[in-house]
Amino acid sequence: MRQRRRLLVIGAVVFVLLGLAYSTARQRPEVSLVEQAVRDGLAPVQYAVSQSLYRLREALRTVGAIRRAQEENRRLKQVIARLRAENASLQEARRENERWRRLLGFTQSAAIDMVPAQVIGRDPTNWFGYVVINKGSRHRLRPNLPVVTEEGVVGMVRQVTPYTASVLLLLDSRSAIGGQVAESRDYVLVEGSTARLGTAVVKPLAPEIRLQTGATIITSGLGQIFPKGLVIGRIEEVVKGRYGLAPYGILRPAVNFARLEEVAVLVGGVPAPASAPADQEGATPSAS
Amino acid sequence: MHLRLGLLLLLLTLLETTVIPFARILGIGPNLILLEIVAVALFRGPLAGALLGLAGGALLDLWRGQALGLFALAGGITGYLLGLLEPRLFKDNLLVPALAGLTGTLLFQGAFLLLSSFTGARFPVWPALGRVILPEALYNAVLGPLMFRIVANLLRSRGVATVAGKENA
Repeated sequence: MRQRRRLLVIGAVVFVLLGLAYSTARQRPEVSLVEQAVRDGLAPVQYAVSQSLYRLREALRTVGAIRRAQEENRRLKQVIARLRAENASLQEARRENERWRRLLGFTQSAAIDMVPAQVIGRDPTNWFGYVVINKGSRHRLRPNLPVVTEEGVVGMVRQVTPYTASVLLLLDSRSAIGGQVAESRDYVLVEGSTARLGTAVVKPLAPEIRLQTGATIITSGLGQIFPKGLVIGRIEEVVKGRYGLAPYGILRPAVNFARLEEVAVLVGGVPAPASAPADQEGATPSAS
Repeated sequence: MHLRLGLLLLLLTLLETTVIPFARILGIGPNLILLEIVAVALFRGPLAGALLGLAGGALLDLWRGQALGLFALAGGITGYLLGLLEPRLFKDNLLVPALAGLTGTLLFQGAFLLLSSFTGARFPVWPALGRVILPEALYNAVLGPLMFRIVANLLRSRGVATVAGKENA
């Protein structure tokens, strides 16, 4: 009798959990209250631990860099002087550009609206590529917003709680980003992969496209999530497709995910594509 | 005892999501939560192993936010199966926690891959085995004895653990 009851309980638990897994397997923009409580509850502690780790790492780096600092300082002063001169001339060019744009009836796309955030948590399982950041819906974040660093594309927001958001990295096998070969302008698809850790796969969108080792891959802007022209990474190897399939590239991302600390979420979305000047009058960037 | 094991589980979750990713070798880190499940299963038997496995896996599920329940089931299965070995093992032997860490990883990840296919997710099996599961199993085997010592101390401090396997002699 006891044996039978135990089997019933085990069966019920397995049934309920499998049902839950099946029903939550697809992408869910909203998270449950329990998930929200766990993530938001852990967030302050994770933030404190992450901050301490980053500071410790920074201190270690600083110690290592102190010898090079003096030489670098001298070199940077020269660079600053040169950049100041360049900046002055670029400012002048920008003003001139603005005058011409106004004259031609173009509207300048608004400055990109971004929310800076810190990485406070990472995937603990080795299987998936996602991180958790310390900004959420209270900071205007919502699913499918692009996440970047100054190096390039990081991924996109997947789920948000009021104070945190999980970001699907471009390395994750569930990720697919519309890309373009910077040199040839050919369109490709960049997909995450579990086959090679730390890399993604570049798939040509047409059979005649030939990928080259060393080519830079940028966002195409066709997916309406990422703005056009952000650097995704570089092709480090071109692999022959099996069974007559087209060759594909192995992409080394521009972003160093092992050292990812700070990111920016582009809350303004993708700027509206340029069209005829008359249509552009008063236009504002559209959210993706 | 349960409170201490629960607190250890929370602490390990915190470490796994903050510190451990920086200790990855070739992109692979250990699974400390799984090691606690394995240690408790071998000390306290299948029921405790299964319950802690469910709880630890549920934490991973809540953190991941997709296909909730897969890690919980994988953890429960691993804890239960390893717990069945509890009366048969001489736990003083250093090889036992190392081999248990290795076997536990294979069971946990194998169960996860199998259950994942039920939800429509597909992982290429051989690359997954070579690049994720086996390296993680080795990492867990190395850290297994350390986690055994921590869990043994937690259980012993309450006077409820018979750690050295002498009870089974």
